[in-house]
Amino acid sequence: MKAKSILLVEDNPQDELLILRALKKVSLANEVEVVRDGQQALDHLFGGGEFAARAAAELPAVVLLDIGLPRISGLEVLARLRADERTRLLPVVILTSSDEERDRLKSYETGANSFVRKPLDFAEFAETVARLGIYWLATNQPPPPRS
Amino acid sequence: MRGRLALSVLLPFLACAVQWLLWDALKPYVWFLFFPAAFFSAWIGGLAGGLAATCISALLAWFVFIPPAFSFALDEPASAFFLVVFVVMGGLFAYIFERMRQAGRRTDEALASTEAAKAKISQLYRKTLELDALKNQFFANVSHELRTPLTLILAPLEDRHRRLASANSSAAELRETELMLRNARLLYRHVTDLLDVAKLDAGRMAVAWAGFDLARLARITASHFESLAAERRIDYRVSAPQTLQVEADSEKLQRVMLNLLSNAFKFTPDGGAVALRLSASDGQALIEVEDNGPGVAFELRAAVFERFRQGETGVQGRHGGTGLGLAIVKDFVELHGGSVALDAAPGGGALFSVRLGLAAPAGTVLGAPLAQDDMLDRQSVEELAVRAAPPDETREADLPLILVVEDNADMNEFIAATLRPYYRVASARDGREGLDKALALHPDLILSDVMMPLMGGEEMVKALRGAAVTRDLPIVVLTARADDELRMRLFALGVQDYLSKPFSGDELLARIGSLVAARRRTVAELSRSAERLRRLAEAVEKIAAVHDLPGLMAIVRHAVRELTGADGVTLVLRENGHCHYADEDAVGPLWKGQRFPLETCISGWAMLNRKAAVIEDIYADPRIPHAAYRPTFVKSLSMVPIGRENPVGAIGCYWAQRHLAGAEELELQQALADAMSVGLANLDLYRAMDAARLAAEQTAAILTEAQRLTGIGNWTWDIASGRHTWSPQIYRIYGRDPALPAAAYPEVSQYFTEESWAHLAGTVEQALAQGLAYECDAEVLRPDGSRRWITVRGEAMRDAAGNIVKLHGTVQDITARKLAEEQIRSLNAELEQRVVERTAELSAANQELDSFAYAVSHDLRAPLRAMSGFSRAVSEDYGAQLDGEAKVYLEQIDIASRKMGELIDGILALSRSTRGGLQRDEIDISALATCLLDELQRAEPGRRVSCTVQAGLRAVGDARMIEAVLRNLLSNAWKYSGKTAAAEIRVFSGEADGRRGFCVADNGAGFDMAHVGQLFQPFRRLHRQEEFPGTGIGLATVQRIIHRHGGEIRGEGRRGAGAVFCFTLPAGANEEKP
Repeated sequence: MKAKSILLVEDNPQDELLILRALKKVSLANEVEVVRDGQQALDHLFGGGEFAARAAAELPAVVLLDIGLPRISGLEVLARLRADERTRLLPVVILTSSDEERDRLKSYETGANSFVRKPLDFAEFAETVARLGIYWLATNQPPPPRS
Repeated sequence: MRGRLALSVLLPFLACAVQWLLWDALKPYVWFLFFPAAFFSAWIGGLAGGLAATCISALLAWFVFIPPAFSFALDEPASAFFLVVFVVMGGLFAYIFERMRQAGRRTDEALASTEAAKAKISQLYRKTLELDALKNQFFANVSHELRTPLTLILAPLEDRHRRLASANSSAAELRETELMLRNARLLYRHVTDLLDVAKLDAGRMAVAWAGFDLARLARITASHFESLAAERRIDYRVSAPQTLQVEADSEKLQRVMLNLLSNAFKFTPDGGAVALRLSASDGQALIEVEDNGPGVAFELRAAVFERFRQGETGVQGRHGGTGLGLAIVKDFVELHGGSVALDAAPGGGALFSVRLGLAAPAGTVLGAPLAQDDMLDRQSVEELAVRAAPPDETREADLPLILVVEDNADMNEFIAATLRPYYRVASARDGREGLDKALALHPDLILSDVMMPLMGGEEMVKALRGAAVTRDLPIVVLTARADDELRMRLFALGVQDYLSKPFSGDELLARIGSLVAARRRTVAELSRSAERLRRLAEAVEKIAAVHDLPGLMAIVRHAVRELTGADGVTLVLRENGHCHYADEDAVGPLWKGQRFPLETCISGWAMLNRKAAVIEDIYADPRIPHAAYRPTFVKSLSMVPIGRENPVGAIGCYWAQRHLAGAEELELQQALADAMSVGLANLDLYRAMDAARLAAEQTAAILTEAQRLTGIGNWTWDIASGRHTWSPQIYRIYGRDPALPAAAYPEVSQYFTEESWAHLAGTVEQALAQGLAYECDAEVLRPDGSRRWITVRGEAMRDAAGNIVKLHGTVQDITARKLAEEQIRSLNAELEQRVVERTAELSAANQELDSFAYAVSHDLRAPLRAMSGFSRAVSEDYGAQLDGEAKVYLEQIDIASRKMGELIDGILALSRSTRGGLQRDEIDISALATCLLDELQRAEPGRRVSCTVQAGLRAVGDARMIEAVLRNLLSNAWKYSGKTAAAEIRVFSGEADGRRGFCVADNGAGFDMAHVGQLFQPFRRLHRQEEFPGTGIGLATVQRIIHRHGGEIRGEGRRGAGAVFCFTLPAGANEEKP
């Protein structure tokens, strides 16, 4: 069984850096794969585009998904994941700086497993991200694979 | 009687004794002797005796003979029956004999009285015979004795008459002589008749037989009536043989013919026919007299020949007479051995036939014919002559006219002659004529007899009193009878006086004179009053017709002066407490045109006291202002107010000589014043009517103008007649020729578009059916092709029975309004379009704002986070290599980032507070405040703040926003009381802007009221950042939210003494839309 991994979909390199720093602090940095827009995320997951060579079955343990993404927005990505049989049960955590209610509502409606606001305070932010990584990789049991 | 009764009682005992002796032989016939006893007792003793005998017999028989003997017991029941039969039989005998006795008594009495009567009758008869003889003797004596003086009167009278007739003497004297002569002859005739009758009765009337020519006698006798027949236009025929020699009494036969002819003329009306026929046959002469008068009823034909009988019994004959004429005819004819008969003439009148032998009875000695007595001839004709009443003179027409009603021509003439020197006289012969003449001539007095033919005086008086013209006519009745009852009756009928015949001329004149004078006075007075009333009525009529004041016053002043005979008349009108002498008509000038105060003049007095003033001597009356009267002719006056209730003026009459106005003058004056009052009221009325007419005309003109200006015309439709009427405006609206009649209901459809007509006709039909008012718009298509829009309004009118009889309403030209409406509609549409556009723009702007806010919240935060995160990362990862100053800088970066984050959050909150719909939630302010304060306490557990929240505060609003409001206000209070030792925060119900609201107060730093204006502006702060950190957006957000709810917020504070913020939330302000 392949090691569990995290797919981070984040277009802001500063946030990516901060997230990775926080995950490194809890020793989860190696399991993180980063894509920078919605299209890339979908390609990565379904083996299209630049990730066409990859096996489609290698799904991450969790997808950390930003909403404001270039090309295909986070919510659109979420909708497509939920529409596809393969990724229908894939845990997706929305990690965003928005605190708009409509985003939150839309996210849950589309099938997000969790909605986490990126705190402005760095310490808080680092702790939140670290907890997320630990929870989804260590604590949470993924849905059983499809037979 | 008593003896008979005793005998009848004794008989039963006798019978009993005998029967006892013979009982052995008689046995068992108990009643053998008792029957005869009872029978004879009744015969002897009558009812009482019979009954007594019966009872005694019954008792004796019962006791002695009915077994058992000597006892009142009965062995056999049959005995009881016989007992009863006996008693009944006995009673019957008694009754029958009593009746027989009574009848016998009555017969005796009747016989006795008959005997007495017979004796009396014989005595009376004897007496009557004696009296008859006496009477005849008396008549004969009287007649004889009367004839002598009469002859002596007649001869000189005839002499005198002849003289007067030949000489040219006065008509009056001649008339008087004729009168005397006529009456003397009449008396002579009556006396002759009576004497003849007396001679006849006495059997002393001898026939003077002589031979003479009856034809000649008949012709001579008949000739006397010729002139009378001509006068009365009677067809008088005499037919006789040339000669007819008879042996008879010529005088008597002359009387026979004379009487028959006289009788025929009496009863023949004017223009009738009378015939005398003489003929001879079979040794008999036949004299026939025929008339065509009323004839004689069959049952009376024998009676007319009786003495003192006249044909018309009951009613007095047209002609007087003794009633002996026909009786004498009969007697004289019978003396000659002839006969007279009365039959009905072929023409309906009477036919008298006299049959006489031509020769005298055998052995009669004929004498020389007697000389003719032409006195009787003349008298007979005279009696019948029509004496025309003297013509009713027309001369001296002002003399009183007296109508004399008297059937006796001579009495009539006598009275007329007596009156003629002093009065005009008219005569009538009977009540009927009197009545006619009285009604035709209007005499001043009627003098009437009572007993008259055709109509009696009483009947005439009744008729006269019943007629209006003669109701008050004085009537004097002449009566020969001293009959009090009659007089009372006549007085009751309204007769003024009576005169008993005979009367003297002086008495007649005296009686009539006073009555006529009184009558004349009354009539004159009445006619004067009538004339005044007529003039008054004329004046009143004129007053009613006059339309102007000067005309009214002219009529009144003229009428007053004319009617009262005053020397001057003034008309005074009341004007503002003054008497205005408005008009006058006088022999000298009075006060025309002058005005005096009401209190100072007599006209004012009359008005103020509402009564007339009559002053005989004006200088003796204190009410008169003497100075004003001195220059005038006035000595006396009378003043009456015009209008009795509320006088508006007065009418004065003035006399130059002292004069006390009489009641009648005053009445006339007042009547004219009343009329003038009415006239004045009429003038007011006329003025008001003129004004009203003018106003009505103006109104009509205004209405027409208004209809033209407003475009409203009115119409009516009389359903019964189908007549439509339009006001001119409707013609204008429909473009119809005004010369045409209004278009009738279906015809009017030509003026409408098809669609409008369908709608309008439906509405009208419904109104006709249900009687409802209606209103509908319709498009008019005028004949010239132009179109108008109208509003038609109509309503039905019903009659008393509720039937719809009429529709009426208006037509209003609303074309201009329709156009305006059309314009408004298009403008509205345009406006709506613009609003939609603007709304879209606004929506877009909102959208943009949303995107912006989103961008702010999302995109501004990321760099901040990066700044803060990396400065931290540097500080954590490379803290050991950095010096103190570098660390401070990193810290500053972190602080700034955090600060900016707060600002962004604030701006977002502000932005959100103006976005999205307002929810309408029930909010428990008290609970919310408590909860928020707890939160604040938890965030800063170390602070000690005394928090008081009033319980039960509630509001309606958007819960999320109100929470934001409270959160801001409470965190401010929390923050600014942070440096205060005993911090207090209170939430309570207070007032803001005069309305109930909620307040949040603290005792913290407060603020300077000089800066209160900046309090709610975004990013404006009253405290330095190092004192109290903040963004300056909180209160701006609070105010935005409160204003969106339609509420108000006020802040008050003092530097160092705390602040209080109060806001209101009107419940109805929640419908605001974005």
